[in-house]
Amino acid sequence: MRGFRYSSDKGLSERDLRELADVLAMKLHNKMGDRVYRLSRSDVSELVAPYTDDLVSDDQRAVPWLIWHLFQEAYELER
Amino acid sequence: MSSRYLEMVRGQRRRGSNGVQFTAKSLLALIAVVSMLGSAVYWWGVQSQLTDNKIIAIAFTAILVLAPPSLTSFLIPWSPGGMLLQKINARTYGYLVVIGAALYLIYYSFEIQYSWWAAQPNVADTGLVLQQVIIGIIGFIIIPALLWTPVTSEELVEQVRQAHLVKRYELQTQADIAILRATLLRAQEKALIGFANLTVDEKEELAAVMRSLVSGIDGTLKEIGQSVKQVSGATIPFEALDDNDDIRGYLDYIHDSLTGNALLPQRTRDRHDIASRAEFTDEEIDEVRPRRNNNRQLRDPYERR
Repeated sequence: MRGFRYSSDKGLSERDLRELADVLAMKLHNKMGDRVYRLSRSDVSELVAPYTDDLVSDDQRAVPWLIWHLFQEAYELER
Repeated sequence: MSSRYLEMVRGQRRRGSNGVQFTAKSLLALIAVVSMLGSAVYWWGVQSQLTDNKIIAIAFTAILVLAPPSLTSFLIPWSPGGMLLQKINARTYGYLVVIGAALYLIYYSFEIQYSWWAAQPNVADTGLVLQQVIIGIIGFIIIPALLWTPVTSEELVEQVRQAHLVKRYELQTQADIAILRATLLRAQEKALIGFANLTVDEKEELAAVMRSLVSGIDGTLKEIGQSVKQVSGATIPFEALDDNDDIRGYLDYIHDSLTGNALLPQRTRDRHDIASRAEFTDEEIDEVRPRRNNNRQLRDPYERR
């Protein structure tokens, strides 16, 4: 069961998941610049795979989604 | 819960809006503006010499300043979106008109500028007429054309959607006709094998399936045509499969073959014929409903003569 601060299984808590997505989004944005807004979910998944391969499969699937949504929100901000 | 990434983006946006990035493209934009102002002065000078009518001179000046770059911009896209738009528009008749008009305007500009520069004594003496003309073509036409996009991003998306829908409609139509032909072929093959193994209900069902298949495909095509019409505002001519004589003929043949076995329709046909007449003979009645117990002599097929 995943809570906000704690998780009962090997998965990350929601707070940790969002922090990880934040950090990876910043890393990608600093590396690629505005091109991150054109990445698809599968592209994001491929780029963050080296950083998430030690997570459980649910978290490995969730992190690229969270990052992609962050990019879309940032794109809306910049428009 | 706030996101540090979004805070970073907001911070960058605030910093970015205070400064202006000066790129080669923005320099070209500046050159394009200056060139077009120069073009306006140049063409006014030429056109006002060709006619005393100021209104006409102004109109022709506007045409020669604005039309060549805008039409040429369709021919020389400078972005991936522009290339895609050109690929789509190249399949339209209007694009041929754009090509013709742009090439003629460039030719006209070349000829007038050549005459003008040839009339300048210093240029004529140094033999730089052609070079000056080419510079003029680049400045007045090519640079503004490169920097202008033919349509906005939203219009580009809409045109690509239209082209995609039209293509999908064509493919869907071909696919549905191919499926119908394959289905009819299978039905004909079954007819060749023989319907003896099918029950009456199965034959009726198969015939009904054929008819509903065609009307179902019609419905699908109508929906696709309607969606294309809504998006593009154009009505694509739609010929319903059901209205097609060949298709109708196939369906009738299939229906008759399936239901037209020796037992059923013969009786059905005869029943209708008999019912429509006021009087009928005993033999005709016997064909429809053979009577076993009667006082009429029935011929014994095994009776030896």
